[in-house]
Amino acid sequence: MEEQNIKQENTNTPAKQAEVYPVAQPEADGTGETKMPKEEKIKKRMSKWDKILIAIFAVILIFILYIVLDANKYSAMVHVVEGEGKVGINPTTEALDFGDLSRGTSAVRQVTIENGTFVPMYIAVFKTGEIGGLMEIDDNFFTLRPREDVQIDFSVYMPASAEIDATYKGRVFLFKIPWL
Amino acid sequence: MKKKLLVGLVVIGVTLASIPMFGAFEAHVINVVAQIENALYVHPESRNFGTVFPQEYQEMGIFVTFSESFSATEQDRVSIVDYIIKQKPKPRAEFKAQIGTDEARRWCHDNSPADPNDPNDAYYVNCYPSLCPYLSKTPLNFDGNDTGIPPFHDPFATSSIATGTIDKNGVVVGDNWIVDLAVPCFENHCAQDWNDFVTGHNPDADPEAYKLPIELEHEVFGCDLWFEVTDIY
Repeated sequence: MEEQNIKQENTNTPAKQAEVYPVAQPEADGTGETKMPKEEKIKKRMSKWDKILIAIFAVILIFILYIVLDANKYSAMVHVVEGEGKVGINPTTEALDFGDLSRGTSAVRQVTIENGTFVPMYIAVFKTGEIGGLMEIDDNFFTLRPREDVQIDFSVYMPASAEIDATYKGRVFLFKIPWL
Repeated sequence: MKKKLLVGLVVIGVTLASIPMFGAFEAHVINVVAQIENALYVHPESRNFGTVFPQEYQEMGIFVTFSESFSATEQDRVSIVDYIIKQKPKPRAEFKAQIGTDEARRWCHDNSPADPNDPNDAYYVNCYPSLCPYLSKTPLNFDGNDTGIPPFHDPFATSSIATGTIDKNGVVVGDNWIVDLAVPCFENHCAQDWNDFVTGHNPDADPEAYKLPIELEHEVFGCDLWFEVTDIY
């Protein structure tokens, strides 16, 4: 029997490993310092789907930013006064000001929305602040068809528990979302 | 990792750069406008005349002025407000709770009883019998620019609308209104001086037209008064 001495080379010795996996050696650059040679970078190119996803993400982000920036933001306020049968009015259009109301009185302001485009718009109105609890919106979360306009009534009723001489404030956000 | 950061920064940069372009685009193409109207409707506190008797006469007052915010010195863009006083049928509290105050008011205004003489008419389930024809709106008119309405009138006629004007820079910054009730009588139960009672308050009224059916005796009548701003300048 022929012995075959299969001589298996043992690659686990440090010397053999240095042959198989050469280790970069620091080089002298003449300044007394050493630096590592440039590593070979394995370039991983972005796949087609990565690019598409990034593009979709960018479009969605731009859309959301547009909706938020285009929303109408109004200040809302109402002042509580004492006495019966007395109303103080402020019909200016800078804010949703319901004026001075005594307990048991109510006031209504209107916002007109005109859709001058060919695209339906989904209208969503949100209210915040102390006045939010006193305010009712007669129409919300609806679609405004192209070339149509609508009037939304904002009503505030001053309850008997309202604090005299208090001013209830808040904000109203009116979003107009293109709705296909 | 660096590449991903770079891509993210590019996306954000493109987004920020496109915002003004969007603004220009939106102004010319996407034309959706929302604006606050200068209309303001104010409903004064409910005033209760209580139990009244035919041909009784009662008064109560309402004062209309500017709010503190309008009266502020910083607010100098407008100073004069024109308004009108409208009368509308009054919905019952249960009906308001059922479908909402605004809807209830709208329903009572847009509908009328099939048989006004029947207290069990379906209309009266939701709305009070109307007190509006018997209410006058009389301005004390210190500023001389208000127009009142006498009692015994058609509340839906355009001529039955009281008007007023208040001026922030005027001598009198507010209007005092007297809302008086001339209580009607019931058919076949009116006093002999009923005609004089009616024409004494409104010479143009037909006394026969303002007698109530006896079936409505003991009913509670109601009327909503609304102060509506029509113009500011």
